Amino acid sequence: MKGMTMIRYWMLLFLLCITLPVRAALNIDIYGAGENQIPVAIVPFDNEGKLAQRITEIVSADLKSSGHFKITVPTSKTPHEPHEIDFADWRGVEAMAIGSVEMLPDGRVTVKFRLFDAVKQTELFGQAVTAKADQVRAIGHRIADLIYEKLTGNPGVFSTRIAYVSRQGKSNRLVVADSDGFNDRAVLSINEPIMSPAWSPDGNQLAYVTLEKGHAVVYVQSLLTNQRRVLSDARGSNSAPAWSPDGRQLAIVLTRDGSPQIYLIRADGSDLRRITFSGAIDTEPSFSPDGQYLLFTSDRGGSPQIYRISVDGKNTERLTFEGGHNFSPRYSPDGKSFVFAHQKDGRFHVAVQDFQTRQMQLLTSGGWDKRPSFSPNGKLILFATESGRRGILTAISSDGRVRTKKNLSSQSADIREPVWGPFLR
Amino acid sequence: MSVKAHAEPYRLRAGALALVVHLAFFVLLYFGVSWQVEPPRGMVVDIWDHLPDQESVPEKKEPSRPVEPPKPVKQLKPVKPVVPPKVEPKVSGKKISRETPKPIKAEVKPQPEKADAKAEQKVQLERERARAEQAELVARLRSKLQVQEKADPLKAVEPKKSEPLTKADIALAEKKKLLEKQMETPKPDSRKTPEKVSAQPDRKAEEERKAAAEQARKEEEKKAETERIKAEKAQAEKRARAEKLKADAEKKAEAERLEAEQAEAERLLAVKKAEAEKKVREEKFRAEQKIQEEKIKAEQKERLEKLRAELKEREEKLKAEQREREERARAEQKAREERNRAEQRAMAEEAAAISKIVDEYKARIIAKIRRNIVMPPDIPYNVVAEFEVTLLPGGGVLDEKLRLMKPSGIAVYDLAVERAIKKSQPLPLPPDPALFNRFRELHLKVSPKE
Repeated sequence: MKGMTMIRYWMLLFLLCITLPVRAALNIDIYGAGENQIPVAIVPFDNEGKLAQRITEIVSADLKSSGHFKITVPTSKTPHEPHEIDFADWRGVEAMAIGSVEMLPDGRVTVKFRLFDAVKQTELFGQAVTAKADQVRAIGHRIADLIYEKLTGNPGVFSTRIAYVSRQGKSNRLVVADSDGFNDRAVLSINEPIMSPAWSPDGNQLAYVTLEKGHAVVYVQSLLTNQRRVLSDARGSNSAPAWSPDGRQLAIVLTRDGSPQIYLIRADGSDLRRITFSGAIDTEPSFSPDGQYLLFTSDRGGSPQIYRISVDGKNTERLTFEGGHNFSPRYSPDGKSFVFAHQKDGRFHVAVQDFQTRQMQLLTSGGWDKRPSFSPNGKLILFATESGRRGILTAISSDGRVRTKKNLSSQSADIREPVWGPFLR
Repeated sequence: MSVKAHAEPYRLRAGALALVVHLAFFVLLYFGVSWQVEPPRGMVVDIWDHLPDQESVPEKKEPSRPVEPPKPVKQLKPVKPVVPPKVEPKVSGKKISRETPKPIKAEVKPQPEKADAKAEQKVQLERERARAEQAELVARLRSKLQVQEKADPLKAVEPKKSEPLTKADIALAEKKKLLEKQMETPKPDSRKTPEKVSAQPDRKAEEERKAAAEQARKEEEKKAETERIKAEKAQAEKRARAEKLKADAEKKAEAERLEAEQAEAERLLAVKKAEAEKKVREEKFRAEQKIQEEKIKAEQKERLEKLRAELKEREEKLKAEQREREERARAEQKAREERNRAEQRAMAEEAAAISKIVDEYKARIIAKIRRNIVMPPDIPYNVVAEFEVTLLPGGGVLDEKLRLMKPSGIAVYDLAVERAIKKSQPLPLPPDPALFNRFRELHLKVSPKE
């Protein structure tokens, strides 16, 4: 009896052993993830100490600011060449970057850089960049962008720029800076208020509004030549310029026919057309990525809310209903959602709403959060807030998880109306 | 319609089948019922098959009976009731066959005695009758003297026919004589009786002779007177001598005749006796036969009963055996089932234990891989990456066998998962190496969210 059961037992095992290799593989379903931050090792580049700024520091700061990376900067083991890497030392990281800096005789520098998949132990890519010594930051941002893109699948925005208005005393400056806030420079400095800077799609021009002439006038200024021209100087107020995706026309708000209404105008200032025809205030237009629609703020419903209108002015649709006030809408780069300022109980929040679900999501806990705008990859939102009664710039990831304060060289200035620039072409 | 058309043949066939089955059942039922009834009948038939040999004697005899001088009807009657039973059991069932023997028994027992008594009585009666007849004969002889003929005794036998009818009366009278006789000779022997019978006639014969002599003398005197008349005419001496010779001759002749008559009577008596004896014997034989018959019947009955009992016993034994066998089979079956169930349970438990282990290590693998997945930003929740992995016994992943079977559509996610799988080496495996085969091939489905 016992022998029989033993035989049966062994037969069972035997059958299991026999049948299993034939059987389909063991199915395992895995959901979720352990972490959301990719561990990356940025090994200090060889010879980078000779530069004004360590490139790997720029890269690490950029990647950190995105909130998607966990950066480790090793000090004991610092390989610079592929053959120097012992991957056994790099357990726990998904990727590692090594590189070296070579000072060229003409003052330029060549930066060689490689990215490895530390798990698969393969090189993801390598690049050598030669640039002027004062463009080290740009090189660093570029490397960060590449790493970001390789590891997240989305293009990095570290090389892009932002524009904002800085006010200090009577001085008002229109500033353009790297996305991290460094490398800022004023493109316009006047004593009258500057408002509503807007990037041209190619990133070479800025449209903005000043009160230099006593009333609001829309200018367009080239960043390459620093030359500016009046785009619209109609009677009353000319404000809130927004570039069409193709850069051929802009939407502006004019009060020449009474209340602020939205008009379209060619980039050369010709062919003005009125889009909205409400007796209420219609302002803050934003072009959809496909150029077919405009988002705008209107109080036609009694309180400021966000509407959408087709560029031919035919179809108008109210999009927001929640809270007291919703304003300052901006399309996301993929056109699937929009970001806006939401005011409720005296507090201002940054909010996003999906076109499909029509669900509003608050990204910030509230305060003086205004003027949000998407990064060109859609992953970050730059907005103005207040800290110590002073305006500052803050970026938040589009899912609201990661929030970073922008480093600004001018610590005492009041920063307003930031806007994220496009990818460099 | 088409359905009906298809259905009808089936219904017909089904009907036929049902009919056949019912018939089969009926037949089975019939045989099942009749089987229980039949054994006794079968036995009866068997037994009766033997019987004719034994009964052939009485049966053959019976027809001869009517030819014989008519016998007391009463005597035949007891025999007759015995005959029908052999027919009746065949026709009717057990009940009759069982009931009928009883009356036979009741009748059979007294009858042997009765028959004996009657036989004895008859023997005596016959003897008495013979004696009476002889007396009568003597009387008649005396009265008729020479005129009597030989045929007379034969004729005299005939009255016997009527005698049985008045048997009762005679019996009473006879009984008295019998009692008297019994006083003289208790239990008359069949051998003694003829002597006495023969002695009595001797005395009578002497008397008769005397009487006859007297008569003869008278006749002689008469004749002498006449002769004297004649002798007177003829020589007295010659005449006397001649007459004497003649008388002697006559006497001689007479004596001879008487002797012959007596012999005849004796012979008749003997015949009668023989007849009576024969009759008695016959009666006895018949009674014996009857007894034997009864005995045989009883034996048969007994045998039948015995056989029936045996059959019953055997049947019961068989039934008991079958019951026992069935019970044993049932017990065995039960034991087997129990065993099977236990084995199955054991196997199920084993399988459960195995699956438990498998589940546990699956969970461990999931946990480890998930822990190692670094989710790239903004991956849609609904994407799924499917990998096939071949493991080494130590839990390592065979690099060339790590295949992306179904990309999620987001390369960085696929890469992240692939890295996670690789980072998870060694994957946790059950300590039992026998179970490794279940983990040799893994099909991983990975998704940011369930």
